[in-house]
Amino acid sequence: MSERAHARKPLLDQELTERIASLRVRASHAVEGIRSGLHKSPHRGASVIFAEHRDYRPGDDLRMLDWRAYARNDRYTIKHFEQETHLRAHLLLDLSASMGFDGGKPATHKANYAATLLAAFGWLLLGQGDAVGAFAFDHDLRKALAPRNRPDHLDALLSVLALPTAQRTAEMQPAKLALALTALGERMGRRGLVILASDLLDTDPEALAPLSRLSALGHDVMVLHVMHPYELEFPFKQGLCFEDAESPAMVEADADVVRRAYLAELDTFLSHAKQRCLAAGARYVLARTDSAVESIIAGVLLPARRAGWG
Amino acid sequence: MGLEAPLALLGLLGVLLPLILHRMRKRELPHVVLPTFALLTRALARSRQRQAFTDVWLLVLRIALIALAALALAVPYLTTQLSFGDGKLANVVVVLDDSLSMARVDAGTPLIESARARALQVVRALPDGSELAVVLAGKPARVLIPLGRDLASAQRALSEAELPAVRSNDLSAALELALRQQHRGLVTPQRILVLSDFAKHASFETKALPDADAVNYERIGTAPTKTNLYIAATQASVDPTRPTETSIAVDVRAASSAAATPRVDARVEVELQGKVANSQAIAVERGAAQALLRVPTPLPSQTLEARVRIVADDALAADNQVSVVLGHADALQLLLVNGDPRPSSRADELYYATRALTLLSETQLAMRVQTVDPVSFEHARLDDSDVIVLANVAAPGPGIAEQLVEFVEGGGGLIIAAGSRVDAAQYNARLSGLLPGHIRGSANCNDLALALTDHRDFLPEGLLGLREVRSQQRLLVDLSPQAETLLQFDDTAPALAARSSGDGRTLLLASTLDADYSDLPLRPGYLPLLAAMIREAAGATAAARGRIAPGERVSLPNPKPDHIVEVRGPNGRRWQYTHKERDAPIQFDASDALGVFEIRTGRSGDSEDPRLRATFVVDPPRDESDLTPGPVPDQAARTDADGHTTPVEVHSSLSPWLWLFVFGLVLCEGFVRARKRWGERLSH
Repeated sequence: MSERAHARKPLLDQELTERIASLRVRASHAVEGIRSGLHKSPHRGASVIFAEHRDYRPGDDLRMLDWRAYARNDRYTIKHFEQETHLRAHLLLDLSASMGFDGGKPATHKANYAATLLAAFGWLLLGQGDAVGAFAFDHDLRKALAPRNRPDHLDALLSVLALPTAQRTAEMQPAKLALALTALGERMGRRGLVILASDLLDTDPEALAPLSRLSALGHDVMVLHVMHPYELEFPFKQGLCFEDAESPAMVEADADVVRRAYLAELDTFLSHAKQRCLAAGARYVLARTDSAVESIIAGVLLPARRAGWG
Repeated sequence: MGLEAPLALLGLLGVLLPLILHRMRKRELPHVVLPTFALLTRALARSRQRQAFTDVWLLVLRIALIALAALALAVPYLTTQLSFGDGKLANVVVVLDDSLSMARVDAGTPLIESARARALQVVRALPDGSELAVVLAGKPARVLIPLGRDLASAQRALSEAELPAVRSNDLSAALELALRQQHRGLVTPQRILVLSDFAKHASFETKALPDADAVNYERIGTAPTKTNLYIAATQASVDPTRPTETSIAVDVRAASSAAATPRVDARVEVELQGKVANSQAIAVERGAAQALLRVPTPLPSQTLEARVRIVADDALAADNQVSVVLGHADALQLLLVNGDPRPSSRADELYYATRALTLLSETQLAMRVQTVDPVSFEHARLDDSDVIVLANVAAPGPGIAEQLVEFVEGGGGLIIAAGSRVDAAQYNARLSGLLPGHIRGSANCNDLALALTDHRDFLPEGLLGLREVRSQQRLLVDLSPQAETLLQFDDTAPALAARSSGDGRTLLLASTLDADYSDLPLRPGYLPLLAAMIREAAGATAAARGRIAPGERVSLPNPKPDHIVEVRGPNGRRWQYTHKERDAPIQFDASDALGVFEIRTGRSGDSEDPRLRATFVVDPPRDESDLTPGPVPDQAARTDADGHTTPVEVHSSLSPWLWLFVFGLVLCEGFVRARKRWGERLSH
């Protein structure tokens, strides 16, 4: 552990430390699984790649002027690079109340699973020198960590992604994706990779609209749609009193009777979510909380590597 | 309606069970947090209506199922009142009294119809498979419906049967007949139901009957409140002083259950050919009154029916009228041949016979008597006669002898009486085909008495009035094999022999009709003997004359080939009989109507009205007129004091039907539940 980490340690309570350690173990396990299955990046250390020259336009950053080119042909020329620096990645974790569902199986806790996924992505990205930041939100921004690419940044990252205490989990608020994503968009600097892990359960029909704006700003957006198996399969039997995770509402229903209609509604919801993501230029991945994290990451990275990032 | 086990109705509280369970299920549902709550609520909005409908159906079915099961356990039953029996299989014989007294109208309905309605009730109360017979108690008792199990046919037959109720009563014979019918059955228990007014005259023996419980006696109708008038006797005779008028003497009697018969005012009238010819007011006091009515004497060729009736408001109308036949066109044509005529002298051969026949004609057998001497007889027309009597005739001439043979073989009757002038040889020569035997001639005998033979029915009264007859002389006859002895002397020689030839019959009396050979004419039995001889010779023609009781059988002559015999009843009904190869005469037993029956003969297919040959009158039985109620014998256990059977209550359990319904509901509930499950399986 680095000195900086040691310096911050008194600020972290014991529980948080344990949760971070747990998340580290889970993320490490996932990353090891990915590394063992993937080729090492051939672009490691290559941070500046010339792309093109273009004429200066007022407002361009003067730091981008190619003085050598000016000296040669007396023209202000802006030098463009493919990648100025390491990739800037933003990990967005939905900590709304609906993400606190585990169906009685802690291993399938939605927020936990989402955090593990994002932590694994962060670990991988940090490991290849990319700057990684993290945001946790429910109806508003709760935690934020600016992207850094220092190796000791991992602990800070994990502390953001680590779940709050049980008590605080109970205080989780309903998601307001639109507000949170808009706020995040304003905070993000230059374009980079945005990975959103959420169940996308928001009553607002325009909840995913900010994704389009993020894409428009040049961000590469990936949505990890985290769903619990119970939500996807509705395995309940007979009469039950169903409670809403984000409101005091409850309803009695015969699960056997309503199952068919529920699954139809779910199918519509999933299709709609995927459609909206794709329409916003985002990548969409459905992540069941009972599936292995590395399989999700692998499913994301292989096509991504072919696309040129990661 | 009632319940065998009312406590089982507590099970109805069980209907609360599904309700409580339904409520409890709702209250104790486990809580589940579902993040996709919004999706569920949308899904519920779509499926809730169907679910609620199914649930309500299931709830209703289960409540109904429990309620019906509880009701079935309580064994509900319907109470039906059976008018007879206990609702179980039985062998039942209904004895229906169809005697004249049952024609009385009580509460607007003739008793016979009330009895019929009651009998129909009994038939309807019997379950399928029961045995039923109906016996009529009018004399003679007879079976209306033989014992059988086809209750529907029996009901129909009973409904459609003609029950004229004119006969006298013979309940004893009817009960014996009922027992015989009952013993043919296989079903037990065996019951007899007697439906009668049980008037005093209807007393009968019940000794031969089984235990009293097996016989139910039901009195039909209530006791009459009025005095009953009836005609006890009528006598019509031509007034010797005024031959154009016939006097009809009417003896009216009153029967009442009161200790002293009250005075009743009435009117007696005579109807001739549809019009009232005469009437007379009478006052019936101390139970009797007489009336004498004069009507025109009919022409000799006429036969008129005079209807004598009482016009009064009395208990029974059916016995208020009798018919009297005036004129003798239908009378038996008797031709007497006097072989030793001595006018106005006791020595006349027919002195006793003609006087006896006059009496017979007035009382028993309507006859028109013609007397001729032997010479006139030789030229007589035999076709006009029914019976010819040769009394001490020497012998018929050859010509008339041939006619006699033809006459007898054609159905006529011939009586040959002995006498000093009888020429045995001539008889044997000319009438050998008719004579019962070979006549050897006259011979003395020493105070021989008469004796009966095996033909007891010839003289139903036996030798009553003939026991003292003593004969001093007789004809000796060697009987032919075809002959039969109707009477004999006490030395077994034939006193009266008979032989049938063709359709006719010849009788040979070995004694004289006068007192020459014996003192027979001086004995009281002479009159019945003479009547029996004429009936025997006349055969069925004579049997069909006179006054008979309703239902009595009448012998009719067997018609000759190509001829018919027609009987016309008082109500216009006709019966026709054609010739048949049979020895016995036709037995007519449809005499269930009061009034005059006409017997006519003629050629088949002849357009002319058949000729009237005889009449007989069916009189109302006198004993039926006494309507005083008698006791109902040996009241059965379920009979009230008035002789009416107490209705029996029978419980018909509804449980089997309810259980069947419960079973149906179980199937329905299972079906709805399976349908729901199937829907759920599809939703997985």
